[in-house]
Amino acid sequence: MTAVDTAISSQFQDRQSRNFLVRAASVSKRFVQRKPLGAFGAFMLVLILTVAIFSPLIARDGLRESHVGDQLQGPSLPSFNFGWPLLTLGENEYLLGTDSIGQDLYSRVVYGSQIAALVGVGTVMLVGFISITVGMTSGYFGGRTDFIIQRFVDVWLSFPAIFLILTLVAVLQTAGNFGFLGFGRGPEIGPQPDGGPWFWHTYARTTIVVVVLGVVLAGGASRIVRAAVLGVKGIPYIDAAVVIGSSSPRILFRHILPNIMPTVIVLASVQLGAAIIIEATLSFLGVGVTNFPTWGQMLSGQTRTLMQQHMYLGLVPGIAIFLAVFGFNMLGDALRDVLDPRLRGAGGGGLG
Amino acid sequence: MSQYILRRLLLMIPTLLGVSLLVTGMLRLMPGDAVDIMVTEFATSGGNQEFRLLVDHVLEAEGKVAAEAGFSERLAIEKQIITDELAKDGIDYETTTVAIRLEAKNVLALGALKDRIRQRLGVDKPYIAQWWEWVTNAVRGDFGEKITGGQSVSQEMRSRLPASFQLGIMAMIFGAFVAIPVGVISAVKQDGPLDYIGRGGAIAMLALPSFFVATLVIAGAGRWMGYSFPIFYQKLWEDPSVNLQIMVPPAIILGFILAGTLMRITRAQMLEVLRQDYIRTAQAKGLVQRKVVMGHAVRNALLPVVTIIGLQVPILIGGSLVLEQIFFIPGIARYLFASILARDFPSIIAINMVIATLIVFTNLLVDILYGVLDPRVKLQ
Repeated sequence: MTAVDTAISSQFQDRQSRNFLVRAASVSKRFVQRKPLGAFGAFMLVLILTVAIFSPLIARDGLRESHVGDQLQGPSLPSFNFGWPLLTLGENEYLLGTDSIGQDLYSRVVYGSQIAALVGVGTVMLVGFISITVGMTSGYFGGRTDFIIQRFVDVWLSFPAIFLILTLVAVLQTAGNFGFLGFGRGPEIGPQPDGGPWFWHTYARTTIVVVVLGVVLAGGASRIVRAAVLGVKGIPYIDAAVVIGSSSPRILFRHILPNIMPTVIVLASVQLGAAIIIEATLSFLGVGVTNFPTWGQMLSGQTRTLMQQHMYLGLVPGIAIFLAVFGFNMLGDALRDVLDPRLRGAGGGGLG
Repeated sequence: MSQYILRRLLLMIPTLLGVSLLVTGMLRLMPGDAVDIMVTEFATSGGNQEFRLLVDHVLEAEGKVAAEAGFSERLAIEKQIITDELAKDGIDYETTTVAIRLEAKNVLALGALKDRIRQRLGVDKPYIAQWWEWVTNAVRGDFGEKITGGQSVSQEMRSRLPASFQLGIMAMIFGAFVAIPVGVISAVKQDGPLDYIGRGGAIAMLALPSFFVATLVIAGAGRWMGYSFPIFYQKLWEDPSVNLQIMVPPAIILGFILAGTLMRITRAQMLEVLRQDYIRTAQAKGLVQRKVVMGHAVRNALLPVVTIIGLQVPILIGGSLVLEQIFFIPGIARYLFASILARDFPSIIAINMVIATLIVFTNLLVDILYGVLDPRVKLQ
């Protein structure tokens, strides 16, 4: 390749990538203008992921750090001053207040986002994988395969999701105490209270929650994927691909999968909200991730009795959950309108 | 039609058998001996109780009435049992410390507990035999006994189902009363401010966790109205006032959760119907808009909505879990949660099975109802 060739090709690539950026920018600008609430949802997603990843830096206090003497301090507004930093809080002032043992609620919400993001994203990925596998097999091959798989899905869908989740989480946690998903040491025995500001030491419990949520929620999702596959299968280009002798895997992955992607993406954003609400419910009931601050856990226990006098104790985590789930539902709605109008009316959520 | 129902009923049999395989199989998900795990879970609380039973057993073997035995008599038997156990390991009772005696006592109690649970669960048999025995018993309405003692599972379930049904029905009625008018108004005033408020509200309802709303309601009532909810449940026909005080707030919260989905579906259906030719005809012949909406559109749009209410039963039951917990309602969902905490497997299996059966039957009922209400739908 001569120097000229390289120059031309690099210029070409440059233009192509710039075109892509320009297009992406204009598409997202249009999305923000037409679907402001959907854009809010996308913003919430980015915000939660960022806060989760950098939570030890963003949080004011360390994990489990408490201020003796500052118990149950109400939220206070930071004062504005000219100079750096622009907003400052006094020594004994807390943005979102402190709880009954003097822990800063703002820091706890920030740490809690780790679990919310991990469970949300993990569940969505697992649901996507399982439901695409099951739904595509069932929808594409049809006939007897479809019939048999759908009978299994019937069984899957015969439980209220939360019952099955609760039962499975309890069973797996009992098993885990004897060395199962905890790889030899149980999650109750294993995690150290001072395991650092990261969720690593909660891996056993988080894995259980993610696996159970993913498996249970995939049942309903696989039905929707199957319906989308059936819709795509009827389009003549699939017949054309069969006629020219494409193999089944090729048709599935090159022709069908890209065409059901819009459905899958919409489904994912709705299930992100559902997963976060269910995780919060589990934590609230005390069976989810118990050895790390989570939003649901912040609402349970003593908070419920203290809330009468100190409303902010419940409002802070509650609003955090609400904003996240509301954002994801709106994002799902907006994406559906843009990507896949057929799905209208198939709302998610309502599981907590 | 009858052929369709028959076919669906036949299909239901493998589904329900699969469900029962799954729920009974959950016990088998655990590595090692399930009974070992269950015993360790409540060894701390159950140890002394179990040892007392062991002493009772010896007393009865000697032909005495256990309840009439004196304290010193029991103590002597206790000592004898522990001496025997220690003798098995070649240790003399008199040379041991208190700690070792307690340890031996614990081991004995655990062994007795395990034997009792094994016997009750029948886990010494192969899985398929266990499963078949469970199914044949369940068909006769016998779900075994609770691990924690007391009533049998089916008795307990019977005493708890009415409260759950009451909560569910109240929530359903409330949800429909909120969702249908809001959905209709939202569709008629499409893209107007009322529509935006209705739709935004519906999505907000779906995003609010019920436990958050419930705790807010309780705390708010206490703080601003000085009101505290009764915590001792009364049956509706025994003390309606207390019962309704407990039941109405969770029913409203649950109703709002249902209303979120229901309102969106009502709106979508109304929009579809409002675009139909016969609506334009009705408007063209000069009918008042109110009559067009109420007489022509709503009646046709509501057909699928009515059946959707039936499909919400799983959400209803699932949502009641947290609310029964918070408002102290002794319903089926709270029973499940208590059983899960106590690792009471016969109860967990039975509750899941009963609820799954309920849901499978409602689904069939909904499909049939749909065919009856809408003659265009062909059931096959």
